[in-house]
Amino acid sequence: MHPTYLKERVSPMLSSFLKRFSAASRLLLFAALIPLSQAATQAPTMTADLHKAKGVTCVDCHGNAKKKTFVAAERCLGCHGPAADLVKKTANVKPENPHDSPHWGPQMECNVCHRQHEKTVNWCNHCHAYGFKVP
Amino acid sequence: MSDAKKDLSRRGFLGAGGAALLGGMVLGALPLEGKESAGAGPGPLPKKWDETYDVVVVGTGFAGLSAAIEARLAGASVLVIDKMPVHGGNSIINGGDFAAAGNSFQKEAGVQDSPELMLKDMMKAGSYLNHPPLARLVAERSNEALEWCKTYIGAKFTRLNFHGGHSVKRSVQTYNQSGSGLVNPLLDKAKSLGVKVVLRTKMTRLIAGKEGRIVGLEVRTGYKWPDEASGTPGFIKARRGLILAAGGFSQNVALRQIHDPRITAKFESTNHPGATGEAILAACSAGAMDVQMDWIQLGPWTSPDEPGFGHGPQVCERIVGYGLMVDPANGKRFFKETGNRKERADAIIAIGHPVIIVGDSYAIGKQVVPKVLGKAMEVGVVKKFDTLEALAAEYQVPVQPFLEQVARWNGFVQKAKDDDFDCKLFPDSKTTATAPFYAMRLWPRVHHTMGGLVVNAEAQVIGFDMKPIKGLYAAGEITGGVHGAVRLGSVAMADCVVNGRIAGKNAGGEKAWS
Repeated sequence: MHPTYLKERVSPMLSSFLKRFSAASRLLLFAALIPLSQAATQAPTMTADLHKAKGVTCVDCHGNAKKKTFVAAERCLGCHGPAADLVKKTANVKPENPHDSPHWGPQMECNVCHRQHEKTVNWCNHCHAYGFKVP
Repeated sequence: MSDAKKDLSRRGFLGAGGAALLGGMVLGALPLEGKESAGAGPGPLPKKWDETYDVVVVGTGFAGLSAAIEARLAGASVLVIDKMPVHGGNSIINGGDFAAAGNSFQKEAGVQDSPELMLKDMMKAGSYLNHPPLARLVAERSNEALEWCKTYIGAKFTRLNFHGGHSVKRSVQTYNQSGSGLVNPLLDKAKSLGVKVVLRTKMTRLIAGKEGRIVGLEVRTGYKWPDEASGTPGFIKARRGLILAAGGFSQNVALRQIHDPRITAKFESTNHPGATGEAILAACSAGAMDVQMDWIQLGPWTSPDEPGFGHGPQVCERIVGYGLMVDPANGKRFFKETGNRKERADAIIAIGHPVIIVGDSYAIGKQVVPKVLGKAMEVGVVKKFDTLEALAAEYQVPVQPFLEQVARWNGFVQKAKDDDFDCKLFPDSKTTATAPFYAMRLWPRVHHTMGGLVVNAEAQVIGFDMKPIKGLYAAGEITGGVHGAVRLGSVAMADCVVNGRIAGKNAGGEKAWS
């Protein structure tokens, strides 16, 4: 949702909505929200969360940016590289080495597949049927 | 189909304004793929341009990169954009075959060829719907373009191949049997010359200034395909020219069906997922004329047993003329294996179910690159059998009729003439006799859109006033008229490099409008 929409429209709506209820009803509302928060912790872990768990913070990838920025391969390779090592690391993956396709070789941006803040993608499967597990 | 083709052009009677209006109405009314319309007509100039280049190229395939290089060599500052997060479009996943009339490989192999013969083949396959100057240009400059790729760009080519519909073997293949063998050297050369290449940037609208001259484009930077709402709007000024090299629309089911309702979602495509043609529609919205949009090609060499283009085509297309194609329902041949893509695809679709192509160990060993065969077998597309009987059993082909058909085919091969279907037989074609035997299933897939933007021989896009639109160029699959009704295999690479270079030279040589 666009940030200003949230601030300008949703918050006032929410507070006027809540004012209509007695304290007891508000408690019920709050209780109803508890399963939602539980569901949130059971949601699939994003790769960014895996990074976070290892002590890699937002700043480490995005620098001092205030908003979400695209992180280029150079940044990833700063820790996970060089590219040639990645190619070697997945050399035995079947049926193909995902980091050395005949099309892009090791030249793809990492986050084409290794999306951080959403589900990871197997780009090859637009055309192929490779059962890669993409971390 | 041919009666429909004799109709007047749908746009012909409307005139410039009417056609643009119709285009807009059509866009609004129909459920096109993607939530956004292809782009409003050219509106007011932006208050501020975010970036300025002499030449902006849309698309990072063979045509776009060839254009960028030539524009840069003409002294222009050049930006190439691509909406996808990876470069190369269809070019980087293609099979790497480049048709060139009178090339060095032919000379070595003693194959007689000429641009006239290549033109004749293109026109015949195209049902004479090709715009003759455009087809002639590609045939005549095909070998010069190939040599440029070899010597200036440094791409490696290693094999001479045959493609259906050609009179002779004239298709030269990259060392790795992939278009990447040319795209990546083109990209390296472009970057080394100072061309800027930015991915994840989608053109949403052409911007026209005085008298309809194209002056720049509106884009979404940071665009995350296929999310049309993603990215940030921006404006890029193109001082000398805008070159559209954004490919075709084989993956746009809704757009396909507007022009050919028979090509439903039931038919898959060999193309990269972004081949959806918004750039064509955006150009038309800015006054560009389109042509022959209903000639949409299905490739007859794909296997239903793997997705996309896959490994199958590089087995099938190497053994046409060396093996036989039969309908598994009756074990009989039904069409010449060496026909062009359309006639073969139509014949298979008419049968209504996948057919099979068979090659013996001589044919496969002689014709198919071992690595390609290996992959095709690994994914289960090509199967190997000790006997023809075992092959027949696998595909549930009636055995006796099939064996009789093989014997009949062998008789034709021995006397070098196919009495049944006039299949081309090569000097080194042999009878299908030596075990093991190989087979693969075939079912057509949408592959190439021959139609597109109208261009002249200078790669200038033509408007509805029948004049070139100033500042607008196009090259590659996004254009129409080079191939007419049917594109011959491997002529796309020639088309893209020949016309990409012309577009780049011309756009780069224009005088800046500001």
